[in-house]
Amino acid sequence: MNCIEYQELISGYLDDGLSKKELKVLLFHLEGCQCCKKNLTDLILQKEKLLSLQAIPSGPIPDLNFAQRIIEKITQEDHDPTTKKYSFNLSQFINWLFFPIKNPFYAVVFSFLILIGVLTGVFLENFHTHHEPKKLLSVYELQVKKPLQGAAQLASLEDEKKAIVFHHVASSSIETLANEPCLLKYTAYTASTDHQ
Amino acid sequence: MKLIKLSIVIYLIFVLGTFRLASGNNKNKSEENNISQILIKMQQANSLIKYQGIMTTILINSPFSEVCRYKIENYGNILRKEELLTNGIEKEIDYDDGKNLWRFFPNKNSLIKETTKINHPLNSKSKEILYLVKKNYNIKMLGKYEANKRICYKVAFIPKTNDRPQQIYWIDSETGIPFKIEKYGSDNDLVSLSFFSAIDFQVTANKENLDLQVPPQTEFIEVKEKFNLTLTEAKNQMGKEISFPIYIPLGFNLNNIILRSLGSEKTIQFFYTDGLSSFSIFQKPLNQINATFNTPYGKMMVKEKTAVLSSSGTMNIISIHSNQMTTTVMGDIFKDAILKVSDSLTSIQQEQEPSIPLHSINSSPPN
Repeated sequence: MNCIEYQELISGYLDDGLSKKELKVLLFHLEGCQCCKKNLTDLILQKEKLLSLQAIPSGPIPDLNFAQRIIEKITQEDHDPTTKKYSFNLSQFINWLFFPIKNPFYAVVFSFLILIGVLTGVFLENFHTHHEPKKLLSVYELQVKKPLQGAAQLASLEDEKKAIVFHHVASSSIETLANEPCLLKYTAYTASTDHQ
Repeated sequence: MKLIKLSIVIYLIFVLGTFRLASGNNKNKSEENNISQILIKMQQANSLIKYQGIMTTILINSPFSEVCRYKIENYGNILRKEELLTNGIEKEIDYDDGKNLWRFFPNKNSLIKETTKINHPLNSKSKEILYLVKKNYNIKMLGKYEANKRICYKVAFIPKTNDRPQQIYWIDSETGIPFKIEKYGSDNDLVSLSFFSAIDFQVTANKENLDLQVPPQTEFIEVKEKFNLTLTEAKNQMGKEISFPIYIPLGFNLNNIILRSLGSEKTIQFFYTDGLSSFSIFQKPLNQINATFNTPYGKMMVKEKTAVLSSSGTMNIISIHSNQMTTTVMGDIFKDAILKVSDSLTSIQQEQEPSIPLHSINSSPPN
């Protein structure tokens, strides 16, 4: 086989269409043929550049000069010794990252998933806030923990008037016939006076 | 012959008349006994009966009428819970375990511990109270009515004097619990109405009922109370001159003198009752918490001191500020009576022995 005949195998290699046997034959040839090796390297690089062009956002159809300039740019870079063969390709990465968004179906699916995620987060937060068992103490335990406080605190709890109304009604609930609830007149009275 | 016939007729009339009179007396007596039994039942109801229910109170005031609802759980004289059904700042849950009354204000994050307010029948003055009611009110049985799907006795308490409210009770015939109470003002208008609903007698005290749970950061205050003080003890405890009323409305007795202490702050309460209505006189030194009365229905002068009068339902309240003391008179007596009481307040000097009436009618319950 001469080098021209190996071109078919090189094309097949680029398209991932070689069998194991053909790949073995091609690799054996490339070890000894610098010409074919360079040819294959050039073709691989060109293919990479073409793929990266797909990442350019869609817009107006470029003119022929623009296409020509790109081909020249590819050619220049191919001959630039500083160009790295396997450098990180930002355009490709962006293309990979945002590929689904280009498709309206994926965009809808992703939006839906994000919405579900947000709603689940909100629900879980609320659930924990409202359903988290509140730690409560018995009043008998509280008695030990918190001793007698100052008189000023009573003023903040309830004003003097409410306190004496309560105590009158409480006395009344014990020491009259009716046995009415202690809270009865007290709260009704305070509710009434709070309107004034 | 005619004379004999006439004599027989007169004799028969006399016999029949006597019989009728006797049967009438018996009827009155049996009705009185019946009423007494109902009142005793009502008096002991909270101490003996387990129940829970919702009590609604409507105060018919001008210009505002108020409706309040309370959940009440009563487990005889062991335990009692009262809860004001609101989410407002006034929300209060009272939990009485028979030893202490715990007043919890969930929306104020505070708890007050006081002495129990559960009525223990053995310690109470129930006999005296019943005697006072009978003495001060004409009690009329108005018949049987249905309330909460149960038979109730409708009983009217008509005061013998016109300085306190007339009251009508619907008393459950089985348990003695007053299912409905109406109170009338000085113009005989309905001013207060309380009634039970959703009442359930099939209740059992469980672990949840036998405790009151509060958040750990709740502010906690204890009010010490001493009951049934003598007048001399009250004077000694207060350390300052306290006042006492010369005038007490007819039928009211001084039933209790109570001292409340919060740290060094002390308040004395004289509690008067005629068995059904009641009024209190509170006194405390002025240099303690200064209350601002934000509901002045009217300002007036009582013995050249500024006084503020307000009222709600059948309750009237007058507050008088002097140089040394704040005195408040309040209760279920009409405005004229409460003004008269406050106008008659006379200070007692430390060394002076009380020569003032403890009750307006010198009476004691029959043994």
